[in-house]
Amino acid sequence: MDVTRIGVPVAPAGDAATGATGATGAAKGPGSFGEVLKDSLAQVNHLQHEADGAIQQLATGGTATLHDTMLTIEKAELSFRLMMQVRNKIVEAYQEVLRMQV
Amino acid sequence: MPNILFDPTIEGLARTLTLHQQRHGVLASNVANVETPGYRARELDFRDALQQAFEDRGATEQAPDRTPTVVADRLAPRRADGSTVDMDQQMAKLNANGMTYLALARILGRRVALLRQAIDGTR
Amino acid sequence: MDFTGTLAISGSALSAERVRLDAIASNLANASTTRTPEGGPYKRRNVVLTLASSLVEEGARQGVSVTDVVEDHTPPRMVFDPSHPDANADGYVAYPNVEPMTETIDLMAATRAYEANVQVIDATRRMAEAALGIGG
Repeated sequence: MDVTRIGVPVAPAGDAATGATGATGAAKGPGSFGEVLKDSLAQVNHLQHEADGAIQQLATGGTATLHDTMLTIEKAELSFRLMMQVRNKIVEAYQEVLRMQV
Repeated sequence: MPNILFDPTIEGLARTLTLHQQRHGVLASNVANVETPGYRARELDFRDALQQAFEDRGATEQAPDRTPTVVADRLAPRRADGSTVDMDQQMAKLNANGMTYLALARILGRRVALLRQAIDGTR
Repeated sequence: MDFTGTLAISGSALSAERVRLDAIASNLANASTTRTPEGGPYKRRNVVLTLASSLVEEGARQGVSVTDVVEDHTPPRMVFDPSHPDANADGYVAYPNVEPMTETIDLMAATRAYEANVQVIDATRRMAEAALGIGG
């Protein structure tokens, strides 16, 4: 499975997942699946940056609270895993749709 | 989509861990100065901060009025040399505080593991 | 407020108590030393402990340091013993101003303080390990 497919144009996925709330094919509307996906990706990115920062702080200066550092890293990992699960589901659904006889 | 990563309980646990860590530092200072003449034992007044630790707040910083303060331990008995460090009392406090910290850390770890399982588990 | 700083605080106590233990050992070893290179009997060593200002952080945590090791200027014990090689003109020998009982009590206090701070270090380490274990 190609991980970079996560960046695939959102419109087809929006169309494929019409069963999702509010998505009537328009992937750019607020609250649409596309928007939610973009926000999730942004959050994953943000958390990864925070984790990187926490790791750097721990490695160089010494962080004030070890548990906060561990939590930050954990959250970044969890959000990434969540994203991967969502991505897998999307790809599965996409392929399912492709298999459909039209 | 609700953000399952920002569980108020997890945030609250993290805040209380910080508070107990701070108190550990204060108590450790007391034990370090058990033989320092005239040294006044200290405590961390973190009652307010503790009670507000589990409030559902967006901010990661504690409001200034809730910040715990290091105060002189007025309950500590005074010795002949002016010191108010009772080693047994301080060690007892330190151990109790440490055990609470360990418990909180373990609980936090399990909550996080639960989250991970919720995300990964269903295959 | 991190664990490393707390370890430094405890470490400073260990160092200070070690100095004390050395002074006490020296005192006890020389409790009967009537002759020293500087002349006169051995003088009891006293260790001065104060707060370590270099380890002060927002007033929250403070370590301890040895600011001075001084000589105790309490007058020596004079014991009448004209046959002693160090006896003075009046037949008195000046013995060190070391009271074994005092030293023993100090020894117990210093040892207890040392061991307590070792326990604190153990506790600090356990807490840090618990924090690291959050990641699973």
